[in-house]
Amino acid sequence: MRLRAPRPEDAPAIVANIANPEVVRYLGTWAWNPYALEDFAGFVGAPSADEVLWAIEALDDHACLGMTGLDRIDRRHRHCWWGIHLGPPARWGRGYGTEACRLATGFAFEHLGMEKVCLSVYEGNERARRVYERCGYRLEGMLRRDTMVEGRLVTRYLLSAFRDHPLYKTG
Amino acid sequence: MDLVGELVRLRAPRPIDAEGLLAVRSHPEVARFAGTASLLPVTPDRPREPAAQREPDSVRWVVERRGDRALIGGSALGTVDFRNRNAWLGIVLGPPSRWGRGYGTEAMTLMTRFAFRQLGLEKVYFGVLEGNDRALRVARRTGYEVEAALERHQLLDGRLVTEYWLAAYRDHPLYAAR
Repeated sequence: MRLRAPRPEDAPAIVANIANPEVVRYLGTWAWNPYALEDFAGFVGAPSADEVLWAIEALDDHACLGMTGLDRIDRRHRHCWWGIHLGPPARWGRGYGTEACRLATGFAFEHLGMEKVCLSVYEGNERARRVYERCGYRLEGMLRRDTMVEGRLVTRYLLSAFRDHPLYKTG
Repeated sequence: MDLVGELVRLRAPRPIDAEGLLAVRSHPEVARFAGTASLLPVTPDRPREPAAQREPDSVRWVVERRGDRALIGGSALGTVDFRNRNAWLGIVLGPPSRWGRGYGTEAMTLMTRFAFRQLGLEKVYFGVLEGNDRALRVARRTGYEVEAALERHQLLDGRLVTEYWLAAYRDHPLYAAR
């Protein structure tokens, strides 16, 4: 896969992802509101200074599989947050998430000078947690009863990767 | 309504409080752990202290000492999230000569109870930077426990230090409704 700038023609794939309950189940609050083509246009049309967004493109058929990005980039404190959505579910389990995570995390260290990258993963999403641990992330916090998922306040796990991790260390 | 304890009263901020709040936050010892905004010089043309601000997702107070009604600080429940039923607590008290007298403990207890009883929240978060043992002690005394230790997370005096996230829950014995 390749991470590249989002384009207007990615909108249908992105909107289909956000429309799919399976895809958004563990994404957190924002993704559970209805999401239209216009929402995507507004989102990619006005990137804010503290985020970097990519579309995820499969190299075999050039399909747009979702988005990933670094947000809340804090240059003073040298950390930022990483997030992703990937779909349709038929394309899960093929390593796209792992690769996107490593590429974006590496970018944060190499090109943004970050010291650490943080992410949130919710109770029940063990598949994602294993992927992130393979990408060098480790647990820094367990926030119980933090986020409403399907009528229940679930635990939010905070994971972080540091620039001196062997996976990312350069030179 | 005001939140009234034995030592302190938490009341609505007024524009006239801006100068007093600035004075509290400008003290280097106070500013040290009070976050990035407090470390930057505040010029007279930017007297936009929290006192004058009203944001939809936060509740702000001025902390007054009972008796002489001296302004001893400011506090807030910020990023109040009714969907996920949590909020972040912040408090700044000063000058340091007024520390260690129980004002912070009482103010935090009053605010946390307000978050549960008046706002209906499930938990309240409180962030503490490495080295701020006083805040950590007060938080523990008021029912908060560490849930996250984020290493190398905040720049403090030229070094990236750990930021602790603590939380108190509505069913803690200190706050459970009788």
